[in-house]
Amino acid sequence: MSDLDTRLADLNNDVPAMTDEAFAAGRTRLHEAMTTRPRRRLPVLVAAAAAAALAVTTTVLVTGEISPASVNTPADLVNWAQTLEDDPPRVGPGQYLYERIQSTMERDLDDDPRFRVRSTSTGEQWIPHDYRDEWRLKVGGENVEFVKGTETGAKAEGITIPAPSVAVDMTAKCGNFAAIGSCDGEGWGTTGSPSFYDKLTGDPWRLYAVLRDRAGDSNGLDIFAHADRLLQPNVPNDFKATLFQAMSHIPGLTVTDDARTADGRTGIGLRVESNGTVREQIVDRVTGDLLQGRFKDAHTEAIGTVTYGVTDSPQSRPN
Amino acid sequence: MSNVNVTAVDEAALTRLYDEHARDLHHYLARRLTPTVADDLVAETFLVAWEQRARYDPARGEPRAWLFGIATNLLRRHARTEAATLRALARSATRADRAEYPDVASRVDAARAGPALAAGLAALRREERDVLLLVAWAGLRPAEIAAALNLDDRTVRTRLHRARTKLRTRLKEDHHV
Repeated sequence: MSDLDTRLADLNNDVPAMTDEAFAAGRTRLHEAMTTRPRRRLPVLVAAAAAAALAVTTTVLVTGEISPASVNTPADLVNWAQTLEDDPPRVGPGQYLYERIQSTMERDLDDDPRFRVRSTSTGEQWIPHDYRDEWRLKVGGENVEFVKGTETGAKAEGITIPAPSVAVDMTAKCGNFAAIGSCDGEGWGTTGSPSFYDKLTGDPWRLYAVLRDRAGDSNGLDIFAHADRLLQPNVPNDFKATLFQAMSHIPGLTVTDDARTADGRTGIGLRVESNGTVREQIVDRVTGDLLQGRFKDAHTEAIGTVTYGVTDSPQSRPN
Repeated sequence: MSNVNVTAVDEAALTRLYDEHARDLHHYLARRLTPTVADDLVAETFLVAWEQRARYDPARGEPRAWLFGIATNLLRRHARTEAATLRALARSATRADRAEYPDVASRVDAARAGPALAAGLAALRREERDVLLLVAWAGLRPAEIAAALNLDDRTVRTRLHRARTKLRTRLKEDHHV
């Protein structure tokens, strides 16, 4: 390298790097420009899956098919999310979307690693076609067992022994089981109304800003947690598409194509890890449904695996 | 060299190119303009790339060079900003890198040369400055620049030679070479 080249290389070389915000904003502008034309979609696979779900009225669990493009980066996540848009709802009039969550949680009692318990429970939910109709929620009693230490030993140490949660079986219009507010509520922790999701659909960058504001900072774990609360089983596909595109902006998000759930299914894995705390989702490649959620920190690990189906009544289950 | 193997520019390919090259492009544009203007120009570069995707010919070079060519063409709308940046640089002492100039005397000399160099760049014809900085700051080869800017290879080499000669002359006059 000549002296001139060396000096040129040094000149004004310490300019500020592109910020993450500018990077994300540019990426969003590009994406919006690319999607103003008719999108290249995967009509055969998606339509086939949706039609199959609608045709099977009572018994078959809805499962995803493999769509061809790999999804291993946040950019892939954006592209994949677009395949979710405009798909027809899978539950017809008079039908219920059935959701079953198998939860397992291990935790150190009072953060003492000598005393660790595992609790398991099963929750089921029947969601009517019309959001304002009666929903049913059924959660089995919690089964708790010690995996480290004993109850006697824990009591002797003054450790708080948690009481297992009791079984519930309840119904509520518009899924408002907590009887808080009206049927037009927001979906942060409770079930949101269709208008709530409508307002957040269509602009991934705006949704990301909402998530970031609710998280209170740009911590990826907190933003992920708020996004996780919005991935409800009955949200429209175009909302899910916006949500996953917004999630692509979460700092530290990693995406894997072949994540495997505890019950052996594969899906797209979304993960954020910071200082030993992990939040994960595994979502169905075709429907975008949550297949498994996982949280782990120094003293707790919780996994919930989710399956779905369609039934004709809130008393029946898919086979 | 791009890690993205692109034979045709579609949505997925351009998104990957953005992920790989946006920050690199930003650094180049921020050096020539300002970081804030560079934010917009990076986005514009990729929007133009999307509009002109049918024109991309992998046989003529790497997609990275193509993107830098688009960015360089967009830079022309910001000639005043670039001139202001170079004037500001010419007035200030540049920070010499300690690894490049390990001893104090070299650093002082390099610091003095910075303003003269910036003034020399400002005095170049725009076409000469584009070619020189695509080599020096973007790391492109003359053949890549020719393809990216739709120029004859000989024209690129001529402009590069003239730019170097003018700058060396300027630095000699200021006793920095």
